[in-house]
Amino acid sequence: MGIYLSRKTSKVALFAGVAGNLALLGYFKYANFFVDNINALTGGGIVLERIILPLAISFFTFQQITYLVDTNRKVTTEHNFLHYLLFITFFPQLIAGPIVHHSEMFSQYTQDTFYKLKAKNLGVGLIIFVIGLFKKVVIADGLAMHANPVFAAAESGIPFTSLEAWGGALAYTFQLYFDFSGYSDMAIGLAQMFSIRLPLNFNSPYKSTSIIDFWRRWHMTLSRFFRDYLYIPLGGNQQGATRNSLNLMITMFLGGLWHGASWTFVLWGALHGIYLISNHGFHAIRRLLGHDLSRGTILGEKVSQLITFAAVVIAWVIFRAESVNGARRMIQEMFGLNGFTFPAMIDFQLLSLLTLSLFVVWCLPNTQEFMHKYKPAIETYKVDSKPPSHYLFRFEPSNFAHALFITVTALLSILALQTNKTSDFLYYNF
Amino acid sequence: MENMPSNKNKVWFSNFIFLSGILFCVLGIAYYINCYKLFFLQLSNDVSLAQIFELHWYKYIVFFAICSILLILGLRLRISLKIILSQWLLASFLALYGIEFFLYFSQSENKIRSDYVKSLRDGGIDAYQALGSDAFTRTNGLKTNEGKRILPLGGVSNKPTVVHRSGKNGSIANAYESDEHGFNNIKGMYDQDGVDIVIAGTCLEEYKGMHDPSEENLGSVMRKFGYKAINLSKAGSNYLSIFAALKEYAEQLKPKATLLFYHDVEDLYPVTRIPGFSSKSPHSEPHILLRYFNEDNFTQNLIFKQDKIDSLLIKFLKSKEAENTKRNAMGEALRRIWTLHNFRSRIKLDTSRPPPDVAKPMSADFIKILEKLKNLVSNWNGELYLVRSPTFPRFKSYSKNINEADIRFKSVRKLANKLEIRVIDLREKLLNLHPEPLSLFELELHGIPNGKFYKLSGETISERLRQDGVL
Repeated sequence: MGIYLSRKTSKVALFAGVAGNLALLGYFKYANFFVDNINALTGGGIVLERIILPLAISFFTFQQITYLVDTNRKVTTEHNFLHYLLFITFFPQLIAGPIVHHSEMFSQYTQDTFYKLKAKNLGVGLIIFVIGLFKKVVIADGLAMHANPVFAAAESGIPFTSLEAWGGALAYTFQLYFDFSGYSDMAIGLAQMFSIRLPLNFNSPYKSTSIIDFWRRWHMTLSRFFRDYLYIPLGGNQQGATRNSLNLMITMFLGGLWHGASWTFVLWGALHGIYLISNHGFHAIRRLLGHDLSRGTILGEKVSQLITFAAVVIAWVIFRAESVNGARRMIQEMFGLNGFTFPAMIDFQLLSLLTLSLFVVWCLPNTQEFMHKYKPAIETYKVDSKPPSHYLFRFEPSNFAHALFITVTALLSILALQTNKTSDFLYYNF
Repeated sequence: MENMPSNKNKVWFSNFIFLSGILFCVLGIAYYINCYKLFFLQLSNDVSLAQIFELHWYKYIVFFAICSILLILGLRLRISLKIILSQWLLASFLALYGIEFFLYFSQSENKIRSDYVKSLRDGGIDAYQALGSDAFTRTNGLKTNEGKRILPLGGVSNKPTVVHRSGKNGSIANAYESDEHGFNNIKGMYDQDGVDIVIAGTCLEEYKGMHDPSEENLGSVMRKFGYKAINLSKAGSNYLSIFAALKEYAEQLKPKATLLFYHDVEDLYPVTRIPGFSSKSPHSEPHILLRYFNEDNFTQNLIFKQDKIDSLLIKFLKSKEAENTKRNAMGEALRRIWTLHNFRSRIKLDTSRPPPDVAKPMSADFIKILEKLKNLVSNWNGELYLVRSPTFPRFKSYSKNINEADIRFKSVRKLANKLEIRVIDLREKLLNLHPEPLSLFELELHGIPNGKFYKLSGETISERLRQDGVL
């Protein structure tokens, strides 16, 4: 199909290609959801065998669509079949992203360095991999033990306190970040070992000062895909405020649905759509009032960061809950709608884990900033990329403290792998 | 390190690190060679190559040898690279031993058996450590004054016997009073007429997971139900040593029912690791356990030799204790830290015993041993039961293999049916029916059963025995 489109522009062929990909995704991922809802609405009894979701289908479907669309637009210039297969199946990022763009990858496959192992790339890749592994098996899995019981209680109607609800919500907020960014780090590290640079997927999202900013920092390759292949083709922000709001809602609604066939994901997407519309509206009002959006005070920035973080935490509750009722119970308890309640004992282990997580996400540089010297990832969005100011936050192989930090991190990860209950990556489900 | 005064110092520092690394590796090689030397001094036989490879220490020797060669080659590296590598080597060393120190000192409840024995002795109680059934497998038993070899299958008689189990925060020691042959029973059982039940299993049946190992074990539970039950279970057993124990003790007692325990994980020390079991590793003197396997009527008459067994075991245990005392507590702590004992055991790199796998019992040896067991029990008109004991995820790796374990057990059940051995599946009859099966495990640690489990399994087993009209 790609080769055909490379020779001849054809909307029909493109439609067939994209529809074929989406049909497979729709069948495997949404058929059961669709049937369940039809049955619920009509009281019917359509029976469909449980369909097993092929691993990584959500990710490679998008990569195939980008390739077809860009080939039809004549943006793609290379059509080597082996390179195409590698682009789709390159193992470090196959299962849970980053969602790579053909223009980023094909050019690297033609370079000689790709076919040679280089000690420097192996070393840098290994260090990034170790940091990712630590995030996953030590921090994320450690937090999972605290998040899961609270959400399970909410689901089954077991009473829990407001403080426990906040503890569970925050634990999941950090678990998801460390889990997914840990996976992305491991993918980037593994690819680096083969002298391949993958696009950056996380850029300290919890430091965001607005929801617009958040979506430029969280799962960046997914938001880029939705921007380039859905939001902009729908008209983007070029057709007035109302149309822009509608486009945002459609994009975020589908973004939610992409994560899974469940109403909680749809609600989560819709909530982020509302957040984004409100954020754009707020900017418009400030512009009308003559405010310079590029200038702000440190206090204002910190307050914005806190509000954004709180909004994201609430949305994650809906994202994590197994049902809308479970999400409702969590939010009711968090906001004391049944009265604020407190547990008999404070869970100091959770408290220390949350404090550590907050310190890491708010005060420390992220992996890419730490490894800034080597530029191991491609910038997904143009960011003002400066190395951290303090030398301790800039990796240097000759720095003894860094060597000690990496070896301790590696050993603790190995210990955690054997002694903790390690869970699957959360994004394997998507 | 960044602010080292001059390049000369940096070069000196990196050379020092590389040379220290080489010295460390040489010490490592010497240490494990010494381990071999100390072990083989206990053996009567000539040392064979197969025995050397069976002990796993050679892996550490090879590892240290490779490291030392790499470090020697490293001395010739480019100076800048050598400086960076030396820092990473030092960092790895400090990180590894820092974590080991932390693990060592954070294990506050790590009261091991020898400490417990010592504390009992200090209180005037003549206690001894329990010996597993596999304690003398490698050395082919103990040598008597007459130069003959004897392979004990029980323990020291009529003494507090110290066992240990894995608790949530490390090992916990405890003791039971051994019977006239060193098993975990009340005294006087061997003199009774008409023994009802003999229990043959491993540590799970002997004492595991107990607060009071004398009271809370299957033998004790069955006795409370009014049966004359004798527990011949020993930690570290394999099916052949179980056969040997039944031959030595149960044959005299002629119990109505013999309960042979089957575990989905390979708790039972593999028969294949008995020296000389494989024809590729010939031994000058046939292994005593193998004589049970190969000779139909072989017996050591152990039931009549308890005095001799006691004196040999006490001598052996005292010599071990003396050896341990010689290495003082600080020395032992240093040895553990130096060998990264805690770190290696946490990451399952303790190669003294291989990790448990789902048992693969359908080998020809297993079939033959099962046949021998059936024939042995039939000879005294007893009934042999194969009891599948808790198949709840006992080890981390086991839970992944739960279906595989079920499939394997189907073939074991088929074989048992063919040999007319009755089967009691505690998973099917107890765990699957229980509303909270995890509550039957000590500290909710998978696989270490608690008193409730033993009580319920005792009820399940006795009900079946009554139904079958055996009791």
